Amino acid sequence: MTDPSSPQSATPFEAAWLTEAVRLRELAEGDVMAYTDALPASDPAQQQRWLQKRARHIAEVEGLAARVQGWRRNARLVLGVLLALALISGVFAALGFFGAQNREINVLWTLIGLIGVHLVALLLWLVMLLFQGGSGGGTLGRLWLWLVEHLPQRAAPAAGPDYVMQALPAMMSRSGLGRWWLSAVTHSLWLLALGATLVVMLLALSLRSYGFVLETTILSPSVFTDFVRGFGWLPSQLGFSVPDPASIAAALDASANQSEAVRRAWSSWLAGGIVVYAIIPRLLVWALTLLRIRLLNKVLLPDLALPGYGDLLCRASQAHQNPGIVDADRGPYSMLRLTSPHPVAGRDALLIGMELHNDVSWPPFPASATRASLRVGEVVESREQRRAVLAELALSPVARLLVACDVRISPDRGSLSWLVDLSAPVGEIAVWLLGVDNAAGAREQVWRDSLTAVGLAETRIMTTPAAALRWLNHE
Amino acid sequence: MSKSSPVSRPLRIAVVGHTNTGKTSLLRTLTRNPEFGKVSANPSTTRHVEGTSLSAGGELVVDLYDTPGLEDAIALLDLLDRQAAGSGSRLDGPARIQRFLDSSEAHSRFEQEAKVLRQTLHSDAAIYVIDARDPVLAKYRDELQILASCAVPVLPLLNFVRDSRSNEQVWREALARLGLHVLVSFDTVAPARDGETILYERLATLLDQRGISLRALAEEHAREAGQRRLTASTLVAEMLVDVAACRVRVKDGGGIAGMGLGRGGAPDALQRALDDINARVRLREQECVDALLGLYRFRRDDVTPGNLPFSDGRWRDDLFDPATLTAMGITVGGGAAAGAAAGLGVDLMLGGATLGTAAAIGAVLGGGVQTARRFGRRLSDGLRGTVTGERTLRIDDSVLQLLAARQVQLLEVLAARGHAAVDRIVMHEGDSRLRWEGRLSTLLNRARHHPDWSKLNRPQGWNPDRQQLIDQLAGHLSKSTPEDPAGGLGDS
Repeated sequence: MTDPSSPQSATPFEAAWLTEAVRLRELAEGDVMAYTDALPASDPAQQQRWLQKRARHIAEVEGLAARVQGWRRNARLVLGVLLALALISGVFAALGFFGAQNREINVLWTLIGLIGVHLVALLLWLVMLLFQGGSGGGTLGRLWLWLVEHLPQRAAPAAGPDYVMQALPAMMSRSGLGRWWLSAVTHSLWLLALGATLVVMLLALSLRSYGFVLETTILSPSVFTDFVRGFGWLPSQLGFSVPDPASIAAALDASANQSEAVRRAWSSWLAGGIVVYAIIPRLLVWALTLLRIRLLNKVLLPDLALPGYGDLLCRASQAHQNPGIVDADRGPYSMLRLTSPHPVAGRDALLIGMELHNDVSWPPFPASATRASLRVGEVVESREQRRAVLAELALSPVARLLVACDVRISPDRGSLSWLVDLSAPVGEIAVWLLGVDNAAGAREQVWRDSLTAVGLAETRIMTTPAAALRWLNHE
Repeated sequence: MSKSSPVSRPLRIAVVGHTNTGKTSLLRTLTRNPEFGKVSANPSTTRHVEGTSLSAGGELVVDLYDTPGLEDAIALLDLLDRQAAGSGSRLDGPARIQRFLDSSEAHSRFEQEAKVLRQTLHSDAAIYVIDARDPVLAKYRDELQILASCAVPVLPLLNFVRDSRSNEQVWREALARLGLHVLVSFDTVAPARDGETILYERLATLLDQRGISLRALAEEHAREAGQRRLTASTLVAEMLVDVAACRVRVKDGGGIAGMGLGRGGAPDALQRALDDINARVRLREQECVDALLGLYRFRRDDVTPGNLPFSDGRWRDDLFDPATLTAMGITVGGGAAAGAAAGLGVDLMLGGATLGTAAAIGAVLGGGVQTARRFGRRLSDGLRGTVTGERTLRIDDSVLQLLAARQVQLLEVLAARGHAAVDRIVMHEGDSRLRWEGRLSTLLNRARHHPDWSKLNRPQGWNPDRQQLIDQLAGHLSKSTPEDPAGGLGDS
């Protein structure tokens, strides 16, 4: 295939286009369309094929494929018209120089006329390719694209984004194919025009008799001799003849009667110039372009790292393999409850800390602020410390126990169940939440909820040193 | 991939830790799925074990299991010790754990812990999530000791390290004393740019045999992140080209071109054209915001106003209001704008229009010279305008600058945001980090000369030159966004 308008139906180009369009659509609209074929595991190449197959399926369901077909139809149509125009211009270019009124051919003028524009265009194409990066592709290719883009699209969506037309430039620029497609169009048109010119010229030279002249107003004859020989050297390597000095002299002399050999030499020289300096270079870049498109077609396979594909593949494989919930929630855990307050002899009170941040100063009160009946214990963290406190309380129970907790640390069942353990030997237990002011209110509420869940009264949750001290001192 | 790794089943990793340390958040961020599980500030939010898969190159590489929090490790360790003392037999760690799982306590008081340990025993490794803001408490050491009995490699993961109250260094030292030297810092709310890569690298060092597939996962994620960033930059670039190329023609002294309003309607027509172009540009910007949110898999209600007038996922403001521009730290050209100067500014803009008409327009615009100057005009349009009586409005550089700055800021916020984040995205005013230097405005100036490149003017198809400009702009935007300032945090 030579261009995107190839009649073949499932070209890599079209497959890539549809895949990209479906990817853009799913990325933008967020919904993943249903596709039942199982995703082949592990092999990226197979997954790329799976993505393309899936995209084709979805594109056909959603009418995206028709849109692509429509564009391709337009592209083919425009290309057909342009090719016809190229053929006609090639023919007319040749007829312009070898027409009915023209029996005398000005050799150099004809040569410049037939291949000059072409050489400039070729050079321009090369410069654009080298320096324009992603753009370029030749004027004729651009013209073709412009016409295709401006031709009314039959299958264009009535409303909403046109993902098919978004996909094309994205794909072209990512793969670098765009300028090569345009180049292929440019070269094809030129090749056809040049071919037509050559054929018409050869036809004219075969069927009619022309005289060949070299004319000048200011140049010296030696310039012509040098040019004709230099220019003819390369064609002569391919068997085209180079006019000898006598032929050149004959051409320069308008009155000279040219022999058949001289005319044949000039015809051959002219045809050789067109073949070697126009058709062969164009043929070479044309072949190069097609080769490049061939190679780049491999790049058209979907890149699995593109946004959208990862999630899609993950979801498709998870449909069969996602572990999901493996160990279900069996309802709320049975919570232990605090031992309700009960009378204990004496007015002794104990304050201990539980799992506090290092920046909390402990003990929290100066010794002067506390009475003799109030003891301030240590900050309890480990199993051994917990055991020691419980053992001590078993030996000498206190009427009131206040446990200072750090509101910044999450309450957990371990801490709560230890509070439950503590509540058994003491007369009454209360909790002092430290750091309420510098933590978010939400955290305090979490503590309050947890504490009331194990049976602690709201009034037994203190947040200020004053309240804590008052309660400890039975005030 | 399956050829290079010895086992083809996905690697099983249990995500464990104390309650409320962000285990589910970690899974959300790693899977980029803000819908996974349930996250709240309350402890014991997750009470089941739920698995989800991560894939690289389309192959499932890792199954991650979210587990309930460990809450009663001190009592559990006590129980394990008592069970060991009671039986008198010397069992190894996993056997001891199995004996606990078979006991009645595993179905009553320690049901939640039993779920965690059962999953850990069945896993190839465990990630132990730590809230780095917490002090190193004895119960955490007990949790690690119990987990060590499961005989699977444990990777401690320090969460919330970007919080100012983080005790990262203290935790590192404490973990080293417990013999855990390989660990990773990973903030689930604001992960470092290479955080995931480092996480998988660390896991790979612990799991020698599965190192290859984990490294593949890390590479795949880095590649996906790069592609996502490029796509995001392209979306922004496309929006900028659409806006830069946009042109609206207003009939001089009449209505919008073709509407044929009388001369008396001139200010109305201009005002209407202004409103229309403002609405269309904002709609185009919103399209870009939606696309970016979708690309990074965030929901629309994740975005919040902050100081910028941005709410319900959309910016609520007049693009042409000077206050909007100055809020983003964009200096509006021109100097003292007041009174007669406003009319003069509009006059300059309209070239051929009379001072009287211009002053009237200036009065209606209200914003004065600063608003008026935001509409430039090309000379050629001016020349044509004097013949046909049409004026051309286009969007000025400072508005483009505003759009670029806002979108790039949003892009950065989204790229650095973990899918665990429950706070809404807050956009702050202030100096944009995007430098509006020569290259950006040169590129956009190219779009100015091609009104047909704007989606606001006509639907766009394949235009190689427009596409090339968009690609160049996108490359520039993705380069000019600064490196993640805390990018090195994840490294130890």
